[in-house]
Amino acid sequence: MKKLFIKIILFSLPILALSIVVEHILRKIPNDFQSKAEQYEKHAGDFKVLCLGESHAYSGIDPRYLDRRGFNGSHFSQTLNYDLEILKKYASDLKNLEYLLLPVSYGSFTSRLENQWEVKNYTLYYNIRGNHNIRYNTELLSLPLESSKEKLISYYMDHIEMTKTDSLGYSTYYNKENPDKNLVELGKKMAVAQTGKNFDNVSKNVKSLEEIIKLCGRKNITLILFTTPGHKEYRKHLDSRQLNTMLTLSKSFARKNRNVHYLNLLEDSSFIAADFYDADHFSSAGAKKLTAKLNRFINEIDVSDKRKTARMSVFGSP
Amino acid sequence: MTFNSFSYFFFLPVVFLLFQAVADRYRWLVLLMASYAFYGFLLQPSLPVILAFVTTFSFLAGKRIYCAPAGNKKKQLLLFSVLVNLAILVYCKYLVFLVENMNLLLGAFSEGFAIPEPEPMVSIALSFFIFQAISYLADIYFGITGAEGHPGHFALHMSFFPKLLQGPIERAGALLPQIREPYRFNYDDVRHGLLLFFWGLFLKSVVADRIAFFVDPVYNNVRAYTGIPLIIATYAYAFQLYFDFAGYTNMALGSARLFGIKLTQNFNSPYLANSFADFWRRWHISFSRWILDYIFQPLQMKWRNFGNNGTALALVVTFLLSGFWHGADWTFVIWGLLHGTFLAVATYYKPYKKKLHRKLGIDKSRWITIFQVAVTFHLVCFTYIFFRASTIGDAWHIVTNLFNIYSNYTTFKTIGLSEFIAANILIGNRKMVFIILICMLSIIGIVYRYRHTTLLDKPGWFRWVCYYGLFFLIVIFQITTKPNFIYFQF
Repeated sequence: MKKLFIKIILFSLPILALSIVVEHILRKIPNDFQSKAEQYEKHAGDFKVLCLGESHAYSGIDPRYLDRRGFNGSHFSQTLNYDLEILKKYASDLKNLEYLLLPVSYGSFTSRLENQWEVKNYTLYYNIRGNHNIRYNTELLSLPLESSKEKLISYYMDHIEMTKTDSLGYSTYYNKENPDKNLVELGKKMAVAQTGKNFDNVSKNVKSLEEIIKLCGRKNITLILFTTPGHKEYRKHLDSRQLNTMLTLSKSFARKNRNVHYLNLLEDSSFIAADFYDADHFSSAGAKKLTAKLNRFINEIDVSDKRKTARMSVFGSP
Repeated sequence: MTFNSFSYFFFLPVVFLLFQAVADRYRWLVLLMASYAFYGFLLQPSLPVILAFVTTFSFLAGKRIYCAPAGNKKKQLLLFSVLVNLAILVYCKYLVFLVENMNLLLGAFSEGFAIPEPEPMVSIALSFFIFQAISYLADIYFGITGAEGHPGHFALHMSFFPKLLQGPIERAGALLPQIREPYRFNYDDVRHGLLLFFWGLFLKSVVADRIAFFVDPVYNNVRAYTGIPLIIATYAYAFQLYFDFAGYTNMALGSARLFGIKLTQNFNSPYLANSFADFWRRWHISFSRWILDYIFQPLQMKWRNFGNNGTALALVVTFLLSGFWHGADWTFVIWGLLHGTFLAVATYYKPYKKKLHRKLGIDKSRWITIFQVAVTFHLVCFTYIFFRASTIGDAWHIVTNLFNIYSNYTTFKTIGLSEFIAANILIGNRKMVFIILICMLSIIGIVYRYRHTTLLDKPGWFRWVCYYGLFFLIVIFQITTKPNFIYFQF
């Protein structure tokens, strides 16, 4: 038996060493999480508008069209708990932040990243350590080896660009034409995929959002919750219970908190088919339109806040 | 949990360490608990219950049969116990099929009348362990083996996890003595076991699952193809099936070997068979021996007065039942019927074939053997059309369009060949796939050369190069999107 254990250890050592090397090489491949983390490190102090959230924000908010210095800090499948973690991590660096844009979508309260492979991106590149499962602390173990192999070949052999983000954090993935843009099929598919099987995550996500609101309150940041437009083929397949839960909660947060505003653009008729990349994500034209709308909303809030401040300085606080 | 799943790579070493740690008299218990845990991982609570029932029933029935005096009572006990086992198998696996077909038949005579269709049941491993139970009872009846006295040993014989899901179908006389024997750690057994296991994993996850890329797009949408893609997919399936099942078997044999147990080898170069009879001596050996011993031979004995006709009929019936065993579908029945027919036809022409070869002076020629191997292989591949097709209609489409390469003269595209190539041969943008296949085939050839014993006799540096080569081939080239084995469904 002793001989067997020694042989197994000897056999395993080079494999372990190689795994460490491959892990290191995988982490060196540029990716969106790494590039956004670097942007936070270098420019967080300059941001006046920060957008977090998931792919609806990732595809829909192009900071170029904001009047203020903005940054899109969203990622595919980023959920409220990780929005909170990013905000907490960079809170002290975001000295000039005035507005936080946070999408509340159909799936925002029912989905939550906790034990999925995406967690490793936050652990490795943002250094946000919430999950102690070794699988979610490495590149090699978090995904099937086939994916890691594909990644290595794509970057080191085929020299394919792996980052899909510009310097303001906006996704370049949606800049091209979608060859499979069948809004009827995609609308149903996306709505079904985003419909939660149960509502177990709602209370945890509500708590995360409450903490975001508190943090914004302490830092004097105005939080703008917004629901992005969805194509009618997507909207007609949404589960009414889940949708109403999201709408009710969002309105309630805006009502109860002075620093929170809610803008519901889900059925905004100004967004036409050409503004969509697929049934619930945006083309570059759609992102420009959506960002411009939010920019106007921010400006209105700004004007309104300045008037309130002026009134208070003349008449005193009520 | 299957042999190629992540969890099995934790399960097996844990069981092995526990097995080593406990006293010898409790080792059977460790394996028994591990086997039921393994079966339980399928998350079908009824299955371990059925296994426990079949085990308990067969153990008690075996004792009764053994003690019964020779004569009618002994025969009746055997018949009763076999029928109970078969009833369980029919109920769990074939009831839906029987009711569906009954309703089709009844529908032809009286509209609106239909037997309510039962819910389909998951029946993984049932065919294998029930056949094992039946062979145990029959062997006791025929005096081949005695009744096992230790219920724990018998339970382990029935449920031993390396062979539980897809066989081999072990005989009591082969497995029980190994279970009873005191265990001594043997380093060579462990080496053999690990090598067999990883070789099997390579065959399944690298070779068989990669070949599936050529088979599945065609067989899952047969109407879109005619001609060459159908032919390529059919031949590819022959290799996919073999590597998948042989891969599983090697992993089963390897896992068992770690515990000092040698299971029956299930394959012996089946595509080098020079006749259908030879094919069944080389393919799924434990199963073919079972149907030979417990179905064919009794039938042949019963119909011996009809000479060749009796033998031919016995073969057709045996393989018809073999088709049924593989699945509750007419495609499997036809597959079995084809095999039975080819075997039956051979019984008639075999004596004339020998005379003819001798007359032509080619009876000892190597070329005639090559010719026979080629013909057998092609006929076996033809039967695979029915084995793999989803429906009879699909199988018929394939059969009638195999050589239909001129369905449309105008465009090459319409015969599906260019799409087939674009979708499958260049799969995943990996133009290297041909190179990989060639390398794999070369490696298979080299390792095949050594598969029996000689690799482990080679110098240490050579062995370790092969071990690392095998390990990295598996790690780099494994396909992870197809976890299940093909014979899992039987």
